[in-house]
Amino acid sequence: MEDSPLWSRRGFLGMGVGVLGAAGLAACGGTSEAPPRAQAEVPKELLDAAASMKGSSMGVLSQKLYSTAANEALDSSIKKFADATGTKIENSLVQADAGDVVAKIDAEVKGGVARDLAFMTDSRFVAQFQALGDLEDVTDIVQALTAKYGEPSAEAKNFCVFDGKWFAIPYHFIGIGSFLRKDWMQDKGIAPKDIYTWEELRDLCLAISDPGKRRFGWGMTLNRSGDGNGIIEALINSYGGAIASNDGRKVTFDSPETVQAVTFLGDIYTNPKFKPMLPPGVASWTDTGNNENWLAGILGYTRNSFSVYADSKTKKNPVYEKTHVFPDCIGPATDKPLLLGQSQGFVVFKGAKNAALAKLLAQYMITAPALLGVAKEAPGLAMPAWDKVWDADPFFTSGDPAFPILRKITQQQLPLSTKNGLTFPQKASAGQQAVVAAYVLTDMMQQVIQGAAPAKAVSAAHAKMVQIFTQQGLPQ
Amino acid sequence: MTAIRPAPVPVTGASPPPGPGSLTATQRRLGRDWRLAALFLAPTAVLVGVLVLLPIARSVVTSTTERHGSDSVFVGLGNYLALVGDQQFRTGVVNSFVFTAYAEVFKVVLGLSAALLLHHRRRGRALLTGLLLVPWVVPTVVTAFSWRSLLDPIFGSVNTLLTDSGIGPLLASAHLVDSWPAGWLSDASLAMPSVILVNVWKGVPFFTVCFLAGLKAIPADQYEAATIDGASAWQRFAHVTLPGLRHVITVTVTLSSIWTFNNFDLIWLLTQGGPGDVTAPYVLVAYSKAILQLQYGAGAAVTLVMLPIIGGLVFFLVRLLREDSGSGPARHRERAPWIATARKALPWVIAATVTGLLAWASPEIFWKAAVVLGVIMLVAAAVGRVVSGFQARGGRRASSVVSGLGSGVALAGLLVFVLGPLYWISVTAFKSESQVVTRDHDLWPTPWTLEQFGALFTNQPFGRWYLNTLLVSAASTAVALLCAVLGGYALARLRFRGTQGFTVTVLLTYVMPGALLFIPLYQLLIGVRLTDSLWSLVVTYPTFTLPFATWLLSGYFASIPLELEEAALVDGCTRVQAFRRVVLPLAKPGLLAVALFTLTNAWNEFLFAFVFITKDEYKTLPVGMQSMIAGDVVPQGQLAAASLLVSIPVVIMYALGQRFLTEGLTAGAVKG
Repeated sequence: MEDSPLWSRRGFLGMGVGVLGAAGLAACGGTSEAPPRAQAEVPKELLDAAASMKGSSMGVLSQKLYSTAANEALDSSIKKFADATGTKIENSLVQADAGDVVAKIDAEVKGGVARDLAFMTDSRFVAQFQALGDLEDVTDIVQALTAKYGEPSAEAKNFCVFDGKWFAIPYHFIGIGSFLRKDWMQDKGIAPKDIYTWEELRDLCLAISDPGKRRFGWGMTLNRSGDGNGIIEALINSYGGAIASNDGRKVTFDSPETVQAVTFLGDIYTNPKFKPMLPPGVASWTDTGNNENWLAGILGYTRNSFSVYADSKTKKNPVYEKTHVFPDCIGPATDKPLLLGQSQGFVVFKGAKNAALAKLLAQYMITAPALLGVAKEAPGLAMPAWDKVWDADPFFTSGDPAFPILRKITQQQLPLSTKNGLTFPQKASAGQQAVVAAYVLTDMMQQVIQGAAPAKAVSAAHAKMVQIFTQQGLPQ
Repeated sequence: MTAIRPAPVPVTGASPPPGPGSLTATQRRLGRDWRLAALFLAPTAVLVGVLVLLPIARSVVTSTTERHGSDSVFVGLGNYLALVGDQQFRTGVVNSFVFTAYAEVFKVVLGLSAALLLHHRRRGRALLTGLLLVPWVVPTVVTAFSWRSLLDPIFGSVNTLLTDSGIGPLLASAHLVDSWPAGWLSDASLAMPSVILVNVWKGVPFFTVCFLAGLKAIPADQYEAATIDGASAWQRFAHVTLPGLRHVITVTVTLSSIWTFNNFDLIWLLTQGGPGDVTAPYVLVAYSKAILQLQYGAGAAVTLVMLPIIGGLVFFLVRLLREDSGSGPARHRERAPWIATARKALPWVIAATVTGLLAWASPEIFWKAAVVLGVIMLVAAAVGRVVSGFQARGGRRASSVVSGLGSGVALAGLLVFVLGPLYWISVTAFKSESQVVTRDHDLWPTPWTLEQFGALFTNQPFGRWYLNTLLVSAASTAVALLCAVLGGYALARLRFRGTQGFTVTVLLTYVMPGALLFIPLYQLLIGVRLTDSLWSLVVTYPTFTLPFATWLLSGYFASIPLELEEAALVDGCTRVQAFRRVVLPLAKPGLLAVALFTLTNAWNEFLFAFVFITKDEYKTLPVGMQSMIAGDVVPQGQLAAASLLVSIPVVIMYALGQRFLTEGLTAGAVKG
């Protein structure tokens, strides 16, 4: 998987959404008594606010988490809320990775049949929905939550805010990171570090590779995939290049920094020197490729969301014990990794029939009691998005060695800048998101791998981006 | 599809006296049976009109707009003009053409071989046909993920087996692959052939069944006459079988070409168009623009630009179907001799053009494909030689042994190709999760366990999906049958104006790929509040098979002797009664064929079910199975277990019903 400070293709499954609305239906009680346990967990002020909505109903759209247990934990949290407030809450699963989630939900919103509440990966989708005019302003909720739970994760302030207004409520932070096989490093007498430059990482991957033993150091593909898009953009950014200007409006792709980055990356896949570290078949991986091969134990490095980490931990894959986690690499233009991560954000759709209840549910779901079950089933993948929630339960800080790394990412001072004046995160841009969705980056790298000169490939890609930006209504 | 002779006017009722002079003015203009025809064609017209033509019309309008933020801006032909310089689009079109052409060639060759082998088989034909039909039945998501697993360069069984048998390095030294082990899906020069291979695998059953039906339709006495005249096996094949199958081959290839050209989900799931854009068909380009970049206008423009090509194929198909009715002979008299020669030469000209284009567009694949085909032909020819050699020397025993052996080996080879991935699916269903993840022992579960089945039923509402799919399949088959029966009868028997026009319009359904159609269709269904319910599927699924089904049934009806109906009419039945009591019962095999086709389509369909339904309790099997792939972790074991449970009933159904399937396809529908 990938992630880039600005965009990521892979869906991060926030909460498992389990099963049926029938469960929600069955859960809603007609009486005013709710089981005391559930009441203890739902904050009182939410219950009070929900008193007037007793007996009403709403629909939630949740993204499918990779593990069913996490799904079930999510569903039981929603049920608790429904029980405690005496309402009917129906929960449906959606797969954000299929590609058509925005088009489909937009059609629903415009047709008046959308659910009330959904959670969407902020850096991927919120800007698109907001640009289509599908979202309600939720600034008041976010302000109330900030007063109670502290600051939300740093990147959320960029991806959920438009013209000073919040359009998504940060729900949970999605862990993203880079993973190395520390046992392979030990075999070669190399000590793990917490920060690498891309060059150091590349050389490290070559050093720990051993095709005879099925050890392939470099586990990243440049094929059309979220992972491919992610690594390409992150690398270019760390060299000081970017698709668009800081305000997200003008294409600035073709620059000496970008060419330098592209040359470096292309070299890894074309230089015979690096052949031993490339797994056979890497050129055709889609998003599942690096996960499967990491879990099969043949990769030395991969960059992904914590889905693969969580999977190895919960399924007791031997690879888990041997994983060294670090945030991301730096390039010539940066001192710190530009990794911002992403969050799932609750969005309330325009025309929602029970927006008030939806907003209350959102405020419950972000709290520690509601999040804990999910976080335990999807370690690293569902972390708190609000400062004080991290401290509300020891699991979030000490449940896994990787968690403190993730917390640090959420607390970064923004903006992060490169030595040549780029600031990250950049303004969310429909043009940039469309460029990524059109595979411009991966196709460009493919050309380089096939032998095109990096400078030429970069300017061809720049021309394509200009066309796409114009088509999105951003004249160049 | 009009009948050759006019049907007699029914005697009942206060109708005008019989005779041509009694036609009313409207009847003179629209044809004698226009009222009944309108009634019979109405269901099809409504279904296709609302669910297909309307969205296509909307797409045409949308293709003149661009989306800027949340506004739609009119840009006239801007989207179309932008395509001229669009490299991705050009590559996409070439890819689609290459993909379709090679896939069709191999599907014909393999389908014909399978049909010939099965046709001459005496024992076990039902079971073998049922087995050969399995690839068609397996959902696309399973096909894609199983083949991806099998073609994996490190862990996949294809490479393991080829390496162990020594064939792999041979391929490399013959330069058929660039290096060994081959990166089937990752090597830019092998990706397209691999994708073609999977499409061929999936498509061979359809061709086999159609050709089998066609073979049955060739009268046995033609073979006898040829044998008496001293024709060898090869000569019989070339001069009796092939001409007899000519019509079937042409129709099947044209239909399949349309479907393959517009294919999207198989390539999407296999490679997403990669590596780079080497395998990206034009539909993927359209999908990327319309759905991923949310520029529906640009995406629609891509699809509509290809309209002339698909439209051309559709038009060609319609002319072919018209020949069915035998409206040919009267016209031939008026033709000049050079037109007749031109007509004869046309197929060769087309074949030569296509071959030339292929060689230009994909030189590396071209010579490799030629090698593969050549090898197949050589082996077949060699065996044939040996057989006829034995026959010539009077060694009948030896020749029949050799030919039996030869066809046995060929059949075995075919079965291995067809059933190989299914074997992999079956054993993976019984592997433990850790074995699946570590990819040990790809071809044998160590140990055998029912863990995957257990996980399948506890983690997923599998039973629910099954039920939903059964309901949707049954209901949509009923709808499709109703429309196709009425439409087919109208086209076969009733005299009215606009038969060809109607057929063309209905066939236009195939013009727009589902991958583009689903958004306007979704908006339509939202408008009538049908989304998130099984009704949306019941109503839209029939549109996929209606054109094919209507054609099939009209041919079937046309083959039922008119005298039977006339006898009924003379005895006092109305048209409708004669239809219900005489024609329908006789058409049972045809009805069953249509039912099986529609059922399989509904069983397998993914895209519409995925888009139209969000509520978990309404999901169908393909969508449910796709949803098991959470994020980027593919539960191969559970998917395999699910596939087994999904495929077995359908295989049994086909094994039992395939006799009717071929009968249904045979009568009339496939006669030349």
